[in-house]
This record gives sequence, C-alpha cells and structure tokens, in this order.
Amino acid sequence: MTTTAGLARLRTGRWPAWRAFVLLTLPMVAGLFLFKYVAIGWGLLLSFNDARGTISLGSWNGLENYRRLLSDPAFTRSLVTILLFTLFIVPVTFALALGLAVLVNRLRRGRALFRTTFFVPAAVSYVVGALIWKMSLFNGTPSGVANSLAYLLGHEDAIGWVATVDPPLYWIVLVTVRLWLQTGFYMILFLAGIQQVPAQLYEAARVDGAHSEWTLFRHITWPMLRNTSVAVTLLLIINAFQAFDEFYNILASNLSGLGGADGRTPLIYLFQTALGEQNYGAGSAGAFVVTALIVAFTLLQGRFAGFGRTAEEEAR
Amino acid sequence: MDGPLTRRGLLRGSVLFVAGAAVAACGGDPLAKTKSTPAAGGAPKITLNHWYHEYGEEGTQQAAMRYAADFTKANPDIAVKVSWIPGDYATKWTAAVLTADGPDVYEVNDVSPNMVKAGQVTPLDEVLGAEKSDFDPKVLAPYTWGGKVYAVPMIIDPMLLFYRKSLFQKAGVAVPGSFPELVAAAKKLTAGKQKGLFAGNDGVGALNTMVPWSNGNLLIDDRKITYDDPKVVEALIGLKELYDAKTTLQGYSTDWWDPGALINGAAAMQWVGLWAVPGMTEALGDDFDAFALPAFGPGGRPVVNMGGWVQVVNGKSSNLDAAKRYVRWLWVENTAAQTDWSLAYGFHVPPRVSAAAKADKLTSGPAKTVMDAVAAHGVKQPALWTAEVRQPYTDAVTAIVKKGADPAKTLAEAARRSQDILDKVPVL
Repeated sequence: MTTTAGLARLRTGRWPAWRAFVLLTLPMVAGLFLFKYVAIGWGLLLSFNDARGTISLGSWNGLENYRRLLSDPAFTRSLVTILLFTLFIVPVTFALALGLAVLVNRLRRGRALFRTTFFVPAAVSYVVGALIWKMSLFNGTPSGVANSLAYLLGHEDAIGWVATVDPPLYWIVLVTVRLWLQTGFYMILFLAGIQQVPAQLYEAARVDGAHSEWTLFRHITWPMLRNTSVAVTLLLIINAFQAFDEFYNILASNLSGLGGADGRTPLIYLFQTALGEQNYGAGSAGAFVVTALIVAFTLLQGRFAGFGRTAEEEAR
Repeated sequence: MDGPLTRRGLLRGSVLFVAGAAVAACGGDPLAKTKSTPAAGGAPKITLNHWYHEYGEEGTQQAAMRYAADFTKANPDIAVKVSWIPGDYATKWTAAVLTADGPDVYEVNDVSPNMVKAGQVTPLDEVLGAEKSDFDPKVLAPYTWGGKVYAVPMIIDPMLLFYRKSLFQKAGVAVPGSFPELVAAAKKLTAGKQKGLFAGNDGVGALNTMVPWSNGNLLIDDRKITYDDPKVVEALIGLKELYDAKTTLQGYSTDWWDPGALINGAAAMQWVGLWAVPGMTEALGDDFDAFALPAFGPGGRPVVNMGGWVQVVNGKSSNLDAAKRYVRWLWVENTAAQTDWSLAYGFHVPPRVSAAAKADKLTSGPAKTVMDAVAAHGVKQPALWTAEVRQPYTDAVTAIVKKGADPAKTLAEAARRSQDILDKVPVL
C-alpha cells in the first residue's frame, strides 16, 4: 500500500510517479496495441481482400467477401442459430443466477459452502465441461448417465443425444453445459450486489408494513440490483454471441458430433472458413459482421436498461 | 538482498521476472511436443522442421524420430526437428505455413489449387525422380496440378466395412452383396445393447459420400458438380432408411477410426481403415473380417475409399534443397523405413508398388481381404472435393437423411452453391 507520505516522496523524489506509471502500464498497452489493435486493423483490411492461403494484402476485391458471406445460407443460418440461442440462454441464466443468489443469501448456515459449490463450475474450462457432457453424461451408449436415467424411466432404446437433430436433442446438451458452467459466476455477481443493499432499507420497509418476502424483493432488492443486472445482461449477451468452445467440442471437433449445419454458430462457421478452408478474407469479414451484431445488441440493451446513465439524467 | 523488501527491489525483481518469463516463452515451441535429433559430429548447419499429425499407434513417434536421426547420420550438415502435433492438426499447419516459422516438411491429406497458388507446397517431380513410375498413377493424380506433382505419398489408407464373424453367425447373416442386403443385415444385427453398424458418431459418417459413390456417382467430375442427380437421390433415400431404422450406433465414446466399438461389441459392423487391423487382431483374434461397401444396386459398384497421407515441402521454406533431399531420402529411397512405417505399427499400404508387393503382413487374414477389395474396388476421392466445396453437400445430406427434407430440391440448391464455390477455385 502506498501511503500519502510515500506518494509525496515519489512526486518529489528521483523516481517520478509518471515513470513508474509508464513502466508498469507499457507492457500492457504495447501488448494491447500490438496483439489486438494492429491485428484488428489488419483483419479489417484483409476482409476487403481475396486472401486465400495467405494473410498478406494486395488482392483487393471490395465487398466481395461480405457478399459471399451474406449470400451463404449456412452463414445466415448460423446467425439465426446464435440469435435464438442468445434469446434463450440469457434470460434463463439471468433468472437462475438471480434466484440462486437470493436463496444463498437467505441461508443462515452453510452460506460459504453453497456459494462455493455453485461457483466451482465457473473454474472448469468449457472444453473440459463440454467433453464431460458429451462423453460421459450424454453419450449415446446405453451406459451413458442420461440414457441410464431414461432407462429407469422406462425408455428402453439408447438415445443419441448429440446426434439427434429431429427433434433437436443436442440443444439439451449444449444448454445444460453452459448453464452449469456460467450460472455460478453470475450468481456471485448478484450475491455481491445483494450484499451491497443496506440492511436499514429492509428494516424500514418492514416497519412500513412490507412483510412478504416477495414485496421486499420486488421493491427493494430488484431496484437496488439494477446496475448489477445491466452488467450481467451485457456480459451474458456478449458471451452468448461468442459461443464457440462447447459447440465446437460437442458438435464440430474431429471426434465427430454432427459436422453439419445444426448448431453451427457464426464463430464455428468462421473458424472453418478461415482455418479449415484457408479463406482468411471471408473469415475476417465474418468476424466484423459478428462484431457489428454484438455492438448493435449491446447498444440496444444499454438503451433499454439505461446503462451508464446517472441518477440525475434518470430523474429528468 | 537481506533486510526488508523495498518497493524498488520488488519492482526490479518483477521486471526481471517478467523479462525472464518472456524470454523463456519465446525459446519454447508452444504448439507441440518437440525434440531435436542429436547431431552426429559437429553442429549441423541447417535444421529442418518436420511436422506429423498425431498417429495413434504406439511407437510411431519414436520411429519418426529415428528416421530423422538416421538422415542426419547420413547428412551431418542437416538436422531434422520432428514435431508431433496433437489435436486438430489441419488448423495448426494451415496457420503455421502463413508465417516464416512454418514447417519445412509436413504431411497433408489433400493438395488444393489454393495451396499451390499460395506457395504452401512446391513441385516434387525431381524428388520422385526415376522412382515415379513405381507409384500408382491413380494415387499421384489428385496431387498433380498443371502437370507437376506436389506430394510424395507416405501411406495409403483403405477404408471399408469390418464385421465380427461370430456376431454375423449368431444372427444368421451373410456378408451383404447389395445395399438393401446391408440394411437388412444391420436391422437383424441390432438387438439389445448392440447396434448393426457404426459409421461415425453422427450416425451417418462417411456413408454420406460413400453410398452415392456405390451408386455410381462420385458427386464431382473435375470442375463440374454432379450430385444433383437421381442416382444420388436414390442413394440418400437408402441411407435414410438405414438411419431411420435406428440400426446405426451414435455418440459412442470413440469415433469411427478407432475399432473400439467393434471390439466391445457395441456394433457388429464398422466403417474403419486397414490401420485398425493389428489392434483388432490383438483383441479379437480371427473373429473379424472386412468387405467393400456393396454396390447400391444395378449400375452401382462396390466401394473402398482410398485415403492416406502425403508428404509436401513448404514452398516458402528457406532450406528448400535440404528439405527436398530429406523427403527423397525418406519417402522415396528409404524403402526399409517406408515398410517399417506402413507395417510395424498400424497397417497401411506402402505407396510404392514394389514395396506393397513385398508386404508380407498384408497377404494373410483380414489384411488380405482388404488388399483384394482395394485391388478390385479402390476409389480415390476426386481432388477438387475440398472442404469448402463439399460443405453445402454435407449440410444437404443432414437435412435429407435426418430431417426428411425433399431430396431432389435440397440437392439442387446445394449443388448450385457448390458449383459456385468450385468455379472460384483457380485453374492451374
């Protein structure tokens, strides 16, 4: 910890604060600039090039890559897929995480135990989670966990959970693994938000005659959580649009899942375009289409939820 | 440094630590488990990078490194660094060859005109040399562009149907001679925890192209997409029947290229390659054999898919001559190493005709059945059937077979798109 005295000495001493600042932030800023912004800029230029098997510029072809992508039913379908996935996974995760946070917060005993238990999956990598779901819980043999349960419930045939597209059972696998992996993390965010709510508010409300838990939640907890809710929704939307790991490992990796159009997200499509078919121009173009989509959704959501607006602006 | 830790001391230490970590990270190869072969007598002037995908059979990595070491013994000024790439090999080499640090020598399944145009491969006619006539022209054809050969075949991998003799006997099933017979056999062999056929974890696997092949349509003919065709429609309706009857194994813990499902009795038939024969012999003795995918019907033909790996030299390599010398030494001249590579671990067909003729291990048991099927029914995938071109087709097959989409209409739409993509592939 730097004390005020220390700071003063730094300002006047041989080691000015700005030098320390530059020294400490330079690697980060340089890294960000070199590996992010230069790469992004290069990608943007590349998206206007016919870049097959190369990432050097020179073969300009205007908007051809964008035209190719948007006229490909496989890509537009992947956009619809991710849109539907987002519309489903965001509210469900939100409700589950908030519900768990409220419940855990109400516990008199064992709060730390439950908090940790629900949070632990967040430390598991998506790849590991996806492989457990695919190869052990939802594998297609009669000995898989899901199939054993189905058998107990009287369903004799082994079900190919990942391979069945009509009805689309693979969504059960994809949605449950994501819920398991991410709900705990957002629960922690909500829990932190709930614990910021001053206890006096609840006491005052009780004095004023608000007795039911629902009333307290509706009129105190929920409004006080607005900033947390907005942040959580924002993160959830971005994460959902960037879905790749579990889709790739369950459906598209070389331990073949479906290999087809089903459950192909935009990022998987672009991964296959850029790294599978070596069409780096179209791959970059697609990355910008997806980015534009994420930005549009974020702005839209910010507009509705009033993210970043101050209390005064709100009052007007 | 004794005494309490000062701020400056901590800062200096941190900077040193970060710098050290960065240097250490730069020194290593983050992509792969790599080992250089020790140089014999004096430091070699040149180091070649040689990439392999991860072969499953035990001893293969050691063998690859042994060949490299032997080469350095014979050519003391050239060292070879063998990289064994686990996981998704294709995306790793495609990214690596874009940079200056890409492999000098690597292996692939296909060579596309785009790869040729981008200089990711280089003509190897002089590497093949006089021995070119000892390679089957059918095998070299898909790697030949504009009259130049861009690859040296390393191994040929025939893929076909393997089955358990005892399970066939128990169910009273004979080796199918037509596609309807195959469907009937698969239905009869599906009972309890056993499925009739395992072709891939999606339930269809390679059959999505193999069944149309067996009805006499290779889906593509040079620069023309041909799968918008009644013969393909017919084949896919047949495949749908096989799928709908729930006779195919889905979502198994290993994929089609591993004989696990057949060995454990999860399926009575499996689409897998010759490479799996030693493993199956060890686990099953002689309780298995193979047959080509039978002709779909009149006008069709039985099919054995001829896959395999070929060696290419990176056109951007700064040691082009050394790389070519190494490839010629290993995959053309060194028949002992080629035979070892093809037969001592998993089984593969040696690409040199003279070496294949001398491969004793392939002249008995199921391996012989495979070799006979190869001679009679081997089909090589057309060169332009690339990932990009076939994607609309595989999507269409999923829609038709699994969701009951209208076959003729779906195929016609997909074929237009495939043709569109194919037309953009450069002509060499």
